Amino acid sequence: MARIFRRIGRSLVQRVAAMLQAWTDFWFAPQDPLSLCVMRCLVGAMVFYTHLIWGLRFEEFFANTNSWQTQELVSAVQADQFAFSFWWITPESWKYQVHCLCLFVLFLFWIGAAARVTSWLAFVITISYAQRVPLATFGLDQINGLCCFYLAIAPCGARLSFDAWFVKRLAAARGQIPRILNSLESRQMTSSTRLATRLLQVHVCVIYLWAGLGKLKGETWWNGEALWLAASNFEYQSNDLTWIIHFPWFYQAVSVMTWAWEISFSMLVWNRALRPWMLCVGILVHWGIGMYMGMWTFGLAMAFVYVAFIDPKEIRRNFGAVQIWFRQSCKFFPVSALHNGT
Amino acid sequence: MDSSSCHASDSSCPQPRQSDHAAPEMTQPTKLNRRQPALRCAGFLLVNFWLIFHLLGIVLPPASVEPSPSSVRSTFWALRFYPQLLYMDHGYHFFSPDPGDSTLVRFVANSDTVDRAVRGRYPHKRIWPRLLYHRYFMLTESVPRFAELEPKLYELLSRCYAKRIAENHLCSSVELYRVTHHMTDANVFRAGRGLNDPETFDETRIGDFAWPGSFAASVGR
Repeated sequence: MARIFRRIGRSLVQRVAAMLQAWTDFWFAPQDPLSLCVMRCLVGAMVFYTHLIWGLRFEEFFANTNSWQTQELVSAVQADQFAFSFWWITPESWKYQVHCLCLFVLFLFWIGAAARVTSWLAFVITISYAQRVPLATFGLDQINGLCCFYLAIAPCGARLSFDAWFVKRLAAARGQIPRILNSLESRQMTSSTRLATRLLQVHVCVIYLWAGLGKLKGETWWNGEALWLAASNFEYQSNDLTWIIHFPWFYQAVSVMTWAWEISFSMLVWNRALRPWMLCVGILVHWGIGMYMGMWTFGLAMAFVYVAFIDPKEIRRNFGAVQIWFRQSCKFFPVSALHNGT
Repeated sequence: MDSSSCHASDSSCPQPRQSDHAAPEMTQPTKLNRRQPALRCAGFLLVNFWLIFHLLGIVLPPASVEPSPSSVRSTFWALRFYPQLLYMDHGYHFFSPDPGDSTLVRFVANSDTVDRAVRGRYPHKRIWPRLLYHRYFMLTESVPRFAELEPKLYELLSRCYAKRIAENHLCSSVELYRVTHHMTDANVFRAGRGLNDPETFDETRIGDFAWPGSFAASVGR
């Protein structure tokens, strides 16, 4: 009897140890940051553009007393929230200068200059803008915020960046290229990259899962009329999609497939064979949102997050042509930006 | 956070496996590792606790959107500081439960000095670039939410919008209207009614606003 208990106990310990090891591997196994570096280039551009557009009507949105959302209104809306924004402590007369400084920092983040610092600053800037004007924000700001946060955790400026270019130029000047490249390679395989990538992946799954589950609460997503209703919303419409009225089977099928895809995404995207298909469907969905509902920025931001699902090795393999193009057309770009050390 | 956050020989901490690309340097324990395995292990545990807390922080906000269990809502309320600080307290219920009607704001602005009224509506399709259009659209889409749930905030919101419109058009008084653009049913559309048919619009007066003036006396008149 004691032997049986000992065996059960040993088996349990082994299982728990295996689970802990699997957990650790899943979240912390060192990973190449190339995917996140590509993502920084894309998200950086989007975040920079988003904030550039705020500048077109800066006074209208960010003035304390005579904007669409005055300080009094936003304070009342966020009364019981822990919302942070540096705009509350920025003097009114300095606001435009601070906005220009923010744009400069976001540009640095985009090109990967001092990325360890500018990525955190980009996150603070993104959430500060969004929390200052909560009634004018939408999905784009949510995705920008979470991308900046996870990119800040990882060494997102390790490749395809000003930082990497600068280090290599410095090494070239001192004749230390091979040693520096080896050292960079070793330092870039980090657990923080894996952690940030996994958190991004899990967060996207959470977003899609609840987007799908939320649709199940409505009648039109069940009877297939939802796509027609979305397409016929004149205020969202940027291209006419009312031609789908002639194909009821089409819009009804797409309505049902939308929530079915959203819910299944969180499970099927982890399967390596199905992952490309899930991502392709996602790109189609977001292309449709951009094309017909005018939300290119949101659609692109969601598509940019998909880069976190692409293995860095795949990026190297498939983007060889891009590298050659970079070599030929852009002489200042580091030759070994994608293939480190080669 | 580096992969060497736990000592390689410390069996009490699970070790991340080195991938194919792991450089030789990664597998060599540093001097700091040898000296402070307990500290590194504590750090590793802390990171794991944060990770679980963070996962809770991103799952609770959408899970607490009603209808949801009261226990989930109360847990979110207790831990809301974390997702709210990180701007991750979102429901992610895009176009759900059903795609709904749009809300616009129509205005008539009058000036004391010029005998001419400026009429307009937010948002309008001439606003460019499209991202800016969506900013205005989100402003007007907030109106019904406040009108139904937060009457006091609704008054404040209306006053802010009116003041801004007055400033944009250099006017001293503004009449505001909430315009609901109803969806066009597929069968009605087939019968020939357009998306912008006048019957699809429904208008409610928000109030008259003047500067200096009293908002409370004029609202809902």
